[in-house]
Amino acid sequence: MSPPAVELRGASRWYGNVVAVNDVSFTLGPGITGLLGPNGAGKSTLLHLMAGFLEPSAGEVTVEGRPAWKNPEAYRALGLVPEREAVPGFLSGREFVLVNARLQRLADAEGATDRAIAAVDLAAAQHRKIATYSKGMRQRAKVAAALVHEPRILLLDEPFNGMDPGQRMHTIEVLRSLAAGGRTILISSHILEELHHLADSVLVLVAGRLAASGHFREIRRLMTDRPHTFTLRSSDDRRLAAALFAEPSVAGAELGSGLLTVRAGDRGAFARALPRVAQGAGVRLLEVRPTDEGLESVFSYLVQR
Amino acid sequence: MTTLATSPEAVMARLTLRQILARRRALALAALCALPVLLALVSRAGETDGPGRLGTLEMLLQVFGGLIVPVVLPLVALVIGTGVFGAEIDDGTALFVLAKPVARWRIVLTRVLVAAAATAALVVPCVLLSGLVAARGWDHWGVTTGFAAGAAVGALLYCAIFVAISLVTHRALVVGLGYVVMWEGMLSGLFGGTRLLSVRHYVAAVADRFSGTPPEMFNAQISPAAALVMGTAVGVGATLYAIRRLRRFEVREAV
Repeated sequence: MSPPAVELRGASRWYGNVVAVNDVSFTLGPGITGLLGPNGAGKSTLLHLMAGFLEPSAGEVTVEGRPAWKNPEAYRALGLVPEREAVPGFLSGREFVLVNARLQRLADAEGATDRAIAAVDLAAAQHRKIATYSKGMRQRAKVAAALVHEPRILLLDEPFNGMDPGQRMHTIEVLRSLAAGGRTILISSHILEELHHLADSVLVLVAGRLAASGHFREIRRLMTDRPHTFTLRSSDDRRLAAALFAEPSVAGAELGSGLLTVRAGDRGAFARALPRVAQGAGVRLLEVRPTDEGLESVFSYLVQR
Repeated sequence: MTTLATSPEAVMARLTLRQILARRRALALAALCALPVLLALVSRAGETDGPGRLGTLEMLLQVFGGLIVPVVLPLVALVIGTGVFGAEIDDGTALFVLAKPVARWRIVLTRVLVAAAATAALVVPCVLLSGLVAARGWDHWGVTTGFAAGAAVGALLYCAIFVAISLVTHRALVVGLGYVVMWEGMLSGLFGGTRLLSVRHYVAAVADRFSGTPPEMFNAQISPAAALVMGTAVGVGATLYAIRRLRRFEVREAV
């Protein structure tokens, strides 16, 4: 059996005493995998480990069975779209893609360049200097450059940043058709919905650890069905708390100074129940605020689970 | 088909050259190289016949030994040598070149050679022109060409060193300047042993070797053979170190 396209075994990476990636293991095979996590979770570190641009502090990272680190030959099979917008602005989009083709020693570099540029729909602007490109166009030029040698493995770090919806749809089509052709594609994102209709499976990275992995739908269910916390202010917090405890959707409540904090097991049911309960108890609601809607707290729930 | 012109090395060389030339610093460097020529011109124009008049050789020595060796050559090589990798690594553009199945030694060697060629292309004409002006013609042309040979060798060695420095530190320009001023400028001349590790002294030895008459015009304090052996060792050592650094190149995270 051939080795997996990408494999991580207990891979960690730290900078001094800051741990960026902590004991992560998974394998990637054909199809699109999403790498989801809040900013600063270590997504880029993980991608750079796989792309051979960081040495694992512990564990192993292999590409087609060989170490990713200090192995330039791996780039024959690998294409990387880094997050940073670092492209030489003095080149035209076409020149940039062609340089990539030539550095790959492709037999038909011009032809490969034409195909890659057509694939990202950049033909109209290909002779303009990259310095004049919009953010989305630069992003597409980077994708074309990473595609030009038709790599078996494609790593994309936040590829949709700066793309408008049309460009995004088009790029999604390109990535899907590549995946259908049996390629292994990893796409990092900090937005779950970005991976909708795109990633078959999702890896969730939180604070450097692999917090969850599974099908997109499973991950989405985990994220929406988790307990939610609300902060309430009302004309009578104590009476409202007492009434709320009768509701099955309420998991707990705590009285503070002028504040009532309620943990709801089912967000939708709680939202429907709250006005009814308040009215029934004769309490006037002054303020209802979800306290943990930050992405960070969604992810930290997954870690604690 | 991959021909010479479309080989990875040729592609990288053209990119590096464009990077060097695309910026305003190319103009600044050209101005720096024009300085010795202008100074020679001014001092020749302003002088009067008499006992104070400098001989051709003394004049050449002042322009070459006093201005080009300690200032023009190392500064031009510093700016170009630290620039071929430095800017790219800082802004992340280096990634797309490094994410290719191209051996790291090819990447380093191409850049060292391009940097050295660009440095020599600026400094050698500066030597030849200021030699012509200082000597008021073809007098002692052999001294000028000998010195031009020394400057070309110096361009290669300095660039190898500065490329290596740029792969070690973010502040390659400052560190490189410190090296030029402290080591080449002051310490290397103090002891016999340190001269053997100084590009400046290699340049003088090569210039002496090729100048012909009179012997030891540049007052080299090491023999041409020693300069050859040590210069090769320094150049090769710096290049090998740069290759080693690039093999272990890591993306700097914006943490």
